[in-house]
Amino acid sequence: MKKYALFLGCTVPVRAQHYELSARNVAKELNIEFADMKDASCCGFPLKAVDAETSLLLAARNIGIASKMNLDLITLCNSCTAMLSDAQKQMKNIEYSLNSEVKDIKGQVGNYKINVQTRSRGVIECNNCGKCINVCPVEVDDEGKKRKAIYYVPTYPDMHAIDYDTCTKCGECIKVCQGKIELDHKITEKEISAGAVVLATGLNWYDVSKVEEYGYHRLDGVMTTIEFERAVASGQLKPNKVVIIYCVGSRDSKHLPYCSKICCFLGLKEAKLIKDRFPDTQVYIVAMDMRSYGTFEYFYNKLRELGVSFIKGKPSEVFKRNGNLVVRTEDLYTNELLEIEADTVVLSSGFVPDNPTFDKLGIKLNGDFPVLFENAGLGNTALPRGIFTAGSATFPSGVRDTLIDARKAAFSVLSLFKHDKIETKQPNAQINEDLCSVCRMCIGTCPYNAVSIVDDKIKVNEELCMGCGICSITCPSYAIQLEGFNPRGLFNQIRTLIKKGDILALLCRWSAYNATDKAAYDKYSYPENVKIIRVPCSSAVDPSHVMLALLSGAKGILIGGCYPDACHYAKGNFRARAREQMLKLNLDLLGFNKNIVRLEWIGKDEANKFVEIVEKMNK
Amino acid sequence: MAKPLVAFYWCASCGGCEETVVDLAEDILKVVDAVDIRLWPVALDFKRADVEAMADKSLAVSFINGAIRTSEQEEMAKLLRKKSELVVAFGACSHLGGIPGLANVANKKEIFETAYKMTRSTVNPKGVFPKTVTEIPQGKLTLPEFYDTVKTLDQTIDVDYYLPGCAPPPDLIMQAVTAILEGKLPPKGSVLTVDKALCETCPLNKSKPDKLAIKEIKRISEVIHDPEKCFLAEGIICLGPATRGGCGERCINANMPCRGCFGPTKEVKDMGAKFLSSLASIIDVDDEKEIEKIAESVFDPIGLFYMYTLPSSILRRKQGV
Repeated sequence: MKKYALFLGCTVPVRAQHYELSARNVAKELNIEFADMKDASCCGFPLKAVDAETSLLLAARNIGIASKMNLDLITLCNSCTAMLSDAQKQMKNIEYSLNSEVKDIKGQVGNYKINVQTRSRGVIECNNCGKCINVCPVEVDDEGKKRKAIYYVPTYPDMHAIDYDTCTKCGECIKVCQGKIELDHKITEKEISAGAVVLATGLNWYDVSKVEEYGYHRLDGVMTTIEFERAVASGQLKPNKVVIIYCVGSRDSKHLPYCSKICCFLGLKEAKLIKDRFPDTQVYIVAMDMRSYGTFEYFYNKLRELGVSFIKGKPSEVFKRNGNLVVRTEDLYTNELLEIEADTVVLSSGFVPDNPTFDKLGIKLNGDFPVLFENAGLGNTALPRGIFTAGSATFPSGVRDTLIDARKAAFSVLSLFKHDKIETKQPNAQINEDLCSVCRMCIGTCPYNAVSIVDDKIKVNEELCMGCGICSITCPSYAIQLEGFNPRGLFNQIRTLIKKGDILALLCRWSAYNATDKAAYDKYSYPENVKIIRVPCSSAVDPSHVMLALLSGAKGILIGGCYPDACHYAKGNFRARAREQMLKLNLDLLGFNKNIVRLEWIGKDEANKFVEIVEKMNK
Repeated sequence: MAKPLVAFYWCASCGGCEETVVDLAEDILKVVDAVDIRLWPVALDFKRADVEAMADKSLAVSFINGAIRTSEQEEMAKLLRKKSELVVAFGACSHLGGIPGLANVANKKEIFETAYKMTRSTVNPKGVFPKTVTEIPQGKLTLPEFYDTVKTLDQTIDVDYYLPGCAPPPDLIMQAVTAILEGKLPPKGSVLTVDKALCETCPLNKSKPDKLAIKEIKRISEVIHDPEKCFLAEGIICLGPATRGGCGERCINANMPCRGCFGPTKEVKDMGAKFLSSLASIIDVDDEKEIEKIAESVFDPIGLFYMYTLPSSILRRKQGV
């Protein structure tokens, strides 16, 4: 007898009971048994037009119920059939590679090749009976917690695994296993082709040993949050007096300049963990500020009620006295200097991005999270078009923010499907191989790692190229050129534009050029001998252009760029600064006043600054 | 058939270009076999009057080395132009201005002050300077006029081809002579070497890291350089990326960085400005003060960036004098 889970949906029980009756009768004749689905819900179809995602989730849930019953599913309604089969089809397109590591990603939007290395976990099929653990003869001390060489891993997929570092391959587990175990540790590699990549790789803790004054590694009892949780969970540690130090390395120009946003709450969680397990333990939280934004404030107040002491300050050091740890700190609430004795000090550190993954994609983070490059309103132009980030890969995020961010990433991927063809959004740099000598000056200077050597030739990755033009001015042979930005054309432009006594303003299109627009809008006036040429970036100004303008009689040359930290192309303005400095050395020796060339940082709304500068230059 | 007539002439130069003709070794016999040399002040006794007596365009080719610094050089260049079918600017000085061209950071007055008065080995209490005309009892003595500005050959006369280098390597000379004799010449105005920069053929290019990024600039005299490693990667300035190749990497093989005597590649007008923009681009420092410091650590910027090319650069000379 064949058995199916019967999914009724909403219409059949309410308006078409005769469908159900006849189906059941027919099934009986065909020797088919129906099993009822207890918690089945709406198939999702009625919601499809309103909220595609929720409707899909509902359908998936129903399929999940049937699969938990180990049965295939039958439905009597054509809408349910459509919805459920659609959901199943979509779920089938998901492929997991667990226990895996991305070795290498190559390509561009629409055509990524991802090389994935997978390590086998030893247990192939498992019903979590746990017999293997009982027979395994190898005891392992896992940072304080005792377990066997084969053990239960509570994360997805819900099953056991072999710890290959300690397994002796005695084979005892295989004898009792009802599923399937393979003792050989297999490492397999495969290549996945994909059109887009979402990085949801999370983040790393800041290395707290760099904050030397807190004595991590040097003093017993000073530990990171993770180490502390582990020690408490394993029962090794029963602290009497705990100090949790916040912002270790965070909001500190010597370490991480930013606030990692989630650590305040993590620290509160730590305090709650201690109070739940050991109500009598004294807990101190020393924090510059408590940033328990939103609903976290309830949690903070709850902990105050539980007796956790909050001290506002930044500890100057942690040291040992009479075998005890002492945290020396100020308390800005009471204006006192305190020395708190404790047996355990927990360092709640900030977070740093997961660099290796971004390195594989050739994205330079310079220690910042990719979100820091994001230019408000313009999308994340620092990332290539087929790469998206979600959750803490973007910036440290709690669950709620991660969900929002992940959804944003998913929709960004979906938006790629709108196009039959992908057009690169920026003008690209192009190589003239007749002139290129592969001298590699362009490779090091590209802020996006878009230039590389392929088969002994310089190649530009169109996807990574953001069109700044730094390389085209760097190239000592003009062999690399930005589309629509021809240095030779600019020579002609300067030759015809600049007359004796003019001021040439070469302005970055992201900042200084907009300032001139604003100047017009705000009805500022500036001398009419100021001749403006728009350039992609202050780093796209060629010293040769400046020389030509001087030859044509310009009495001043203004190069306008973004402020140092605000360069649209990461580092372009620093390149411009270096060129300007070297150019000035030469101009000085060629009989010019050094200040005839000025590189100024002009924000896009600083019309007044622009006007002030050109008026000064005109005097 | 009569052998083609050829002239060699020198202007503001060191004589190295004459030397390199001799460096052709036994190949010079082939040249002598094939052509009839009608002017070569360093080796043969022909005079200006001999050239003046020739019919226009009767010389097949004149090889003129040295920059144009005096009125006599200018007159000779113009004379040879008139008498020659082809004029080849021979060597860096006539091609780009060369080392004598660095005098363009000063003017005649400053140079005379230094040369005839200031130098320690000079005793000139009366302050006598060279004059174009000096009257003496026996008659008039004349000297050519010394110009304020050193010019390249093509800023003085029309030039057909350029043989680059300080001095041009014998193999390129032989190639050029052969091409002229066989009439297999590239378009007028060509530099008779390869189009690409030196890095293309440099033996050290392999050792260059893919990403060039430097944090300080060093002078070759300050460090012991590993002859297997790219100079730029070590922070030692080498003009190889901005200089035409074809020289046979003579300096590199002698463990010295390129100084740019072959001049810039095809599209580049101002070699110094171009190279400085390249060099500045690989300074991997994100601090404005630090960048200023590094820039200032460049020793003798004009002498470095424009060692051979100042008169051919956009500005050509120090302004306002």
